[in-house]
Amino acid sequence: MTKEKFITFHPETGELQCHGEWNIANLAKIKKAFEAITWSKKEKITINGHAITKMDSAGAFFLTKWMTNLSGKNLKVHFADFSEENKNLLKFSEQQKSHEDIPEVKELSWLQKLGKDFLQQLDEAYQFINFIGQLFFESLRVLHKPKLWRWNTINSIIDKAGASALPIITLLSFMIGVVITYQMGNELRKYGANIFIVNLIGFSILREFGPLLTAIMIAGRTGSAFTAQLGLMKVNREIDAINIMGITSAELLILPRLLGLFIVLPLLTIWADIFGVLGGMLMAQNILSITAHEFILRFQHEIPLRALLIGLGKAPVFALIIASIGCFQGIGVRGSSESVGAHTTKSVVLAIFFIIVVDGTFSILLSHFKL
Amino acid sequence: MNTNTPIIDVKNLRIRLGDKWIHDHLNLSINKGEIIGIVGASGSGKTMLMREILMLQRPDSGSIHVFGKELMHGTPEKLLEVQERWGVLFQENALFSSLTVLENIMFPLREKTNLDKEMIQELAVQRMLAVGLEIDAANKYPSELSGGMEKRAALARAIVLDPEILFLDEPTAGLDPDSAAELDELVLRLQSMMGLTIVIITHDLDTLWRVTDRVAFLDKGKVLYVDKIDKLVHHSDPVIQQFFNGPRGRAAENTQSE
Repeated sequence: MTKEKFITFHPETGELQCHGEWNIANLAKIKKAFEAITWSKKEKITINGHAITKMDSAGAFFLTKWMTNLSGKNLKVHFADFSEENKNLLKFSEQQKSHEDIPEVKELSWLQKLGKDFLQQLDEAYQFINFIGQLFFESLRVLHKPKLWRWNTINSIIDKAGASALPIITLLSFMIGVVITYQMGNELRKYGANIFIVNLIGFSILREFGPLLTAIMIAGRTGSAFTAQLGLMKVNREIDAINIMGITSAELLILPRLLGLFIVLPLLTIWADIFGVLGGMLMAQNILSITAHEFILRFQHEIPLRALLIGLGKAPVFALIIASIGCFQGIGVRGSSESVGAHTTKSVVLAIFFIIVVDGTFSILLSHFKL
Repeated sequence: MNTNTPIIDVKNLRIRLGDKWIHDHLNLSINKGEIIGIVGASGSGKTMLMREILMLQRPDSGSIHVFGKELMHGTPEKLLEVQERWGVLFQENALFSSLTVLENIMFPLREKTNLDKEMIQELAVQRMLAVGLEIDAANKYPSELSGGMEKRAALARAIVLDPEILFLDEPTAGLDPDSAAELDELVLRLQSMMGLTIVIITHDLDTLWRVTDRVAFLDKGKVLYVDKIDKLVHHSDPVIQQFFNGPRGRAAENTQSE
């Protein structure tokens, strides 16, 4: 576009000529032109709108605003030669109370923020304990009313969190088996202790990697889904709708999720154990020349059932952690899409954090009891 | 633009949901500067028609011209150009829940204009006051607002870019009678101030009487009649009679003729 001039000022007559399109697209340029004007000492300024081809309410708003500012500087301003339509616009802008101060948002100092955060965390911990307590009493209430056991929901949780997770769990645990054998195998070979790979794989996969990786995977996959689902239901007030019908959200939504995951996570863990060991076995054959037959014979002999049971025993605990944190965060969503995002992130991070903390605690306790 | 060419021109529009034709050869033209009401029973495809004109829903066949431009086969650039010239108040308000009221209103200005921060804020504040919101609402989030305030905030956002066409989907639904009446006046004032073309989808008979220049009656996938409301209510078609001459329709008519 060629450089348009929207305003010409004739200092000798005190006339301000407006031209062109005074609409929102040109306002930035118009403002610049306006600020470039040096006002003469003339007391009277006539604004001529004859040459304005188009004007919108934003244009009119700023014109009146600037004019009011000029009036404040002891200049007399009046409009001339505006079309009927534009006059209406200007009149309308004048009538509007246009400027009021926006109330300020108080900024907190860092100390205040720290204190606020601390109290919030404390409050959240309190809420969580409350939530768990409520769930406990709810489950007692539901326990002797089989009608309230939501088998349909539980089934669908088992399907979505369990059956559909099988492929990814397969791949993941298989790869872990391969990787561990690969790294350990190289070291073992130096000492000619190839066959001990069976012990390493057996203990590490069954006791630690199987349950831990499955739980972390499910925390990312299902825990986040729980939070997003419940969070959106909360935003849409679906949860309120459930609550006023004399159905508790715990009984309808949370307990089935808890129970579903409780059932399915140990099963997924066994699945992960199988494929982790298979991955190790395959690698052992490749780089350590241990045949599958040898591997299995030694596996039976060396790995006690205890290893499997300890690993499986952790899975339900992890399931409870994932489901309760996922649901708790979902219920805690407030009002906005941003809140759904924040709570989903929190749900996954907290779940993984507590899974690892609990896993560490287990290791310490078990070694204390020489298991 | 020639004043005789309609600003929105919908021809032979057809769309199917499942095995039901929601619109079956629907025709409607809307003139520049008029306030047109679109009415019809629930499920007659009023909101669908709006979504099609806005290009949120692609019709199966037919043509839609807005500002004389064909939208259905236009390039994305052309569509963007048109989209900057209309504003919409959705039925659910569709305010951005993670932004405050003022930020919501400033959002289109930030995205679509090259104004500086100060001007954007001044303009947004002006629009906020123009729709009757108090300045205290500026820093509130949509979830902290009442229904009426949310409507107003969404309306302010819809008009902030000085659109030429304004679509209002059920603007008075869920408002108390006072707020609804105020909103009617607001729409009229905006129209006279900004010279807007306004398309109102509504069930509110008071709004139809108070605000609209013409009313289009939708039924059986077509626009049955388009006429001034006082003529439309006396139309002999039984569907229209049933719609307008229930007890509430007559009450609304009486209030207007007083």
